[in-house]
Amino acid sequence: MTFKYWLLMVLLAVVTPLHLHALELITDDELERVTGQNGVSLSGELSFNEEGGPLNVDPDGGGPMTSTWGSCTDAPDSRCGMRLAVQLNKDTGSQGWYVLDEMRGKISFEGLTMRSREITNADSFGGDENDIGDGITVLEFGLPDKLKFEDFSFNVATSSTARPTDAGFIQQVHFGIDFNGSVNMQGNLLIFPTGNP
Amino acid sequence: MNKSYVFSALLLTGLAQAELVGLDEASLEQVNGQTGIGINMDKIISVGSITYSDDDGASGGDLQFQNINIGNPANVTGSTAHSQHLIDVDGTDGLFIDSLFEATRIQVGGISVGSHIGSRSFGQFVYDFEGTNLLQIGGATPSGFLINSTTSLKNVDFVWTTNGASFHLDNLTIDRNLTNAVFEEKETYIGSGQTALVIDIANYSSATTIGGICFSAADCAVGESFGSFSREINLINSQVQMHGGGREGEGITMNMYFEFDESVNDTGDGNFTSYTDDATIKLAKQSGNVTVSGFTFDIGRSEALIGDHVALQFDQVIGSYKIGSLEVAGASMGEFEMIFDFSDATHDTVLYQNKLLLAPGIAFAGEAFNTGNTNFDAFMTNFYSKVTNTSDGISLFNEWNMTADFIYTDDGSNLRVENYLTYGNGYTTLDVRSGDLSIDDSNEDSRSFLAVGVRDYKVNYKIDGLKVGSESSELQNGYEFFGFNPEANFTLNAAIEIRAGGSEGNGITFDGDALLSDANFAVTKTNVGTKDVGVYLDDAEYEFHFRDVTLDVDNQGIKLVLGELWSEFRVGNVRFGDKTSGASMGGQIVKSYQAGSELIVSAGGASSKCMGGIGGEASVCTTNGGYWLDTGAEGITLASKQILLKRNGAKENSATWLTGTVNDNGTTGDKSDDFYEENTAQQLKIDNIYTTDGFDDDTNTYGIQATSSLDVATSPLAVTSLVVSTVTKIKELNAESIQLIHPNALAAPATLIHGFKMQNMNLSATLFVTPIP
Repeated sequence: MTFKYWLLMVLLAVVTPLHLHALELITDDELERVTGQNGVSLSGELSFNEEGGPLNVDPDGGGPMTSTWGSCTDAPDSRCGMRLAVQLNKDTGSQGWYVLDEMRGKISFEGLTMRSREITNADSFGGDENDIGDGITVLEFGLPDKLKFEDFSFNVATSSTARPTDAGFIQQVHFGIDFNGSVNMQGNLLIFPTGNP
Repeated sequence: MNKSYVFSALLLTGLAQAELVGLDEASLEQVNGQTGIGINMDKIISVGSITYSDDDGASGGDLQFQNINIGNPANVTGSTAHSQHLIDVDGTDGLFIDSLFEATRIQVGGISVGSHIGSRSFGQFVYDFEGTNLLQIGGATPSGFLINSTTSLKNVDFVWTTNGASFHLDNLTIDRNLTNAVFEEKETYIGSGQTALVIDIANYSSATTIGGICFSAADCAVGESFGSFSREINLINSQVQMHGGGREGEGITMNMYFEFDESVNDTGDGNFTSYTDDATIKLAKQSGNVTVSGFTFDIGRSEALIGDHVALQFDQVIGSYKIGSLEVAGASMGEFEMIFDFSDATHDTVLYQNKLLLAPGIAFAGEAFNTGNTNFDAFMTNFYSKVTNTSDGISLFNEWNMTADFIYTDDGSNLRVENYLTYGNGYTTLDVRSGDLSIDDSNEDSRSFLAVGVRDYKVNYKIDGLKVGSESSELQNGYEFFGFNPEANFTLNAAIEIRAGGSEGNGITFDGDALLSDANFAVTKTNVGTKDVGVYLDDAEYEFHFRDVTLDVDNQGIKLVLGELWSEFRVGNVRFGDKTSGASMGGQIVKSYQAGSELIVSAGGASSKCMGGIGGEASVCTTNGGYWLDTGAEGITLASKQILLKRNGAKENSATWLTGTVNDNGTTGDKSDDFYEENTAQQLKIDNIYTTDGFDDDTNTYGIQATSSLDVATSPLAVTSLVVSTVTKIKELNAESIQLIHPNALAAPATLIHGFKMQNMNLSATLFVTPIP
């Protein structure tokens, strides 16, 4: 995937919360109507840091710490997993970082659909269709029938530095989350423009 | 018919008639014991010009070949080229001419057309060769001539020179066999009441090797060549029809049919084409056929930008072409097939015809460009400032309309790209320049290059979608995962330099600047009755610059080392619904700045693996409750490394979403105050994105490393699916800030997030892509 599209996907992900709307049940009639149209159905799995990748490794023991790719078992004393650090303030007040740390695990799903869909007066989303309007096209994500989590875990923390290898690193882990199990989902997620572009 | 064969035939007929010489004692000794006549020729031929004209007053013009010399390659005007011909007439089989050519050069000082004659030309051409030819001409049954011919040439060189710099096809070997070709004049083959020369070709085989391709009049040196090429083609049951009269007045009109001989594909590579650098790309087991209707050759007049020209045009070309095995570095990607139809058609009241116009010289030399993007105009103007209106070169106008289906077969399973339609037109210039004229001052002055200029190339294409399996399968999307746009319209302007030599040894190096303007790209779309609805990037412009991009083929695959890249992709409106009038969610600007990035395309898709269970082989995986995904041996894999650099002046990695843009300055057609006046918009900007290696802010060698594989295989739901497998690794990805920028306070953005850092990401994904049930 090119950088252009990678950024586009990121941007879409950022704006999605601003525009998502109206969970919608799919009726049998509607299921018949969508047959044969373009769009795509996805099944599969996403695995975050399945093989880890230790962050803070001191290769020769003499410092400094460096980032070296490898298995978690290569550095059992190191933290392992993806880390996201965000700094909300810089010049005043708190200058620390909010962190999602040691994110790992697997998510698998069946039947996530995506297509462009034109909404008409015949559609009924319990009144929400009026917010969209007749003839408006939406980007429709059909939620997967089953979403399965396998040891999907991360810690929520605050940290004095962005990297755990930076000087003066202090981190406070507030809580950790570990997901296991399945979620059954129904309905669609519709994304469409509103307001003045 | 292959050009080399025609050339050989011309040599035999034209030269033999021109240069009859007396037989000396030695020559007579050589033909001792044979019947017929032996002819030895030692020749130096100089011709001031040869002119072909189809000028009938109302249309047409002259095509002139100037300063033609034939002689010995060591001194074409001072040393003779020797050839020997044994001629025999057999009462049963007809006329035999057995010829031996010692080293011979044919040199053309210039080729020009119409009003360009005397001012500029296509360049200078040199063709060196030596070899043999056996020509047999007999009577065909029931009528016509039966011709068989065997040609074998070696030490063949072709050199094209413009402006003192040369493009060189070095050290070719050419072998041709024409078997049982019947030449006959027949009636009403082309047009009513006309006769045509009809050539029925029972069998034709061709084998060509090219030792090197470089930009030097001298032999290609190692490391300064594209690499070597090889091709073997066998045709059967083919036919050429030819008669006088072109598309306008006089000229030449041809119908043609060519068919690959598939029987040779049963063993070895069959019909194949290959390119070899450190490793080989091979298009093996080629098959298919092509029918060309109404191909015309005319001399045209006064095209708007390139003037008088040679016009090649056809009414229709239909056929199919299949590569039975596309191999990269010894591994197979699978089969590729294209079923195509080039026919004229009208789109938005504009008629698009399939034609190619060629004029001598560089039509846009010295021009100041105005593409609507002043920053980019400077690059184009600089590129064409290196030549003048008397410089030699080739200027082309190309127009086309084509529909096609593409079929990719991976381990026996098909992926179809349905109803591809493309049409457009535009101008291109080609010339060879010396290294000191490069747009990149860091390039060596001694390394000549091919300069390719593209002007106002209007490109339109779209597909209906993808199908997995047969033609009756349901349409689906899935192209989104490869960044492929299912529909696009844009105008391309570009200045590109192509050099010989890659990142290591032979290969190809590119420098260039390109602009896609007036663009509209579909991100995803769905057919709804008689129309498509989707998400479109409208009012878009993509400015793209690249330096020192190299292409090599080694044991890893096709390797692009991307040198320095910087680009700016501006989208006026992200539209939902109709491509140009749908509701907009605002605009976008995505800037990219990279150096040292790489892309490797290799054969063989993802590895077979156990999903949802544990096991290194199918039986163990199944026993443990998993699904064994068998992706087979074939497939396509792309491995990329993107090194995102910190901001350097105007070059940066950033993404901006704009809303509330003032789109109209009140003057129709004046875009100067449209979206591109971005200061009217409220902006959300992810600023100064860059990669690092994870332990300081400067070391940046790892980047974003992604491996994506495409296979067609059976999913856990027992459905044949497009299987997309990706592994993405990032050691550290940074964004300096995320800003809210109000149009009234551009210099003082409100910083939403002061820093973002993602570390140590390793995301693996396996997606089965199928139609919506």
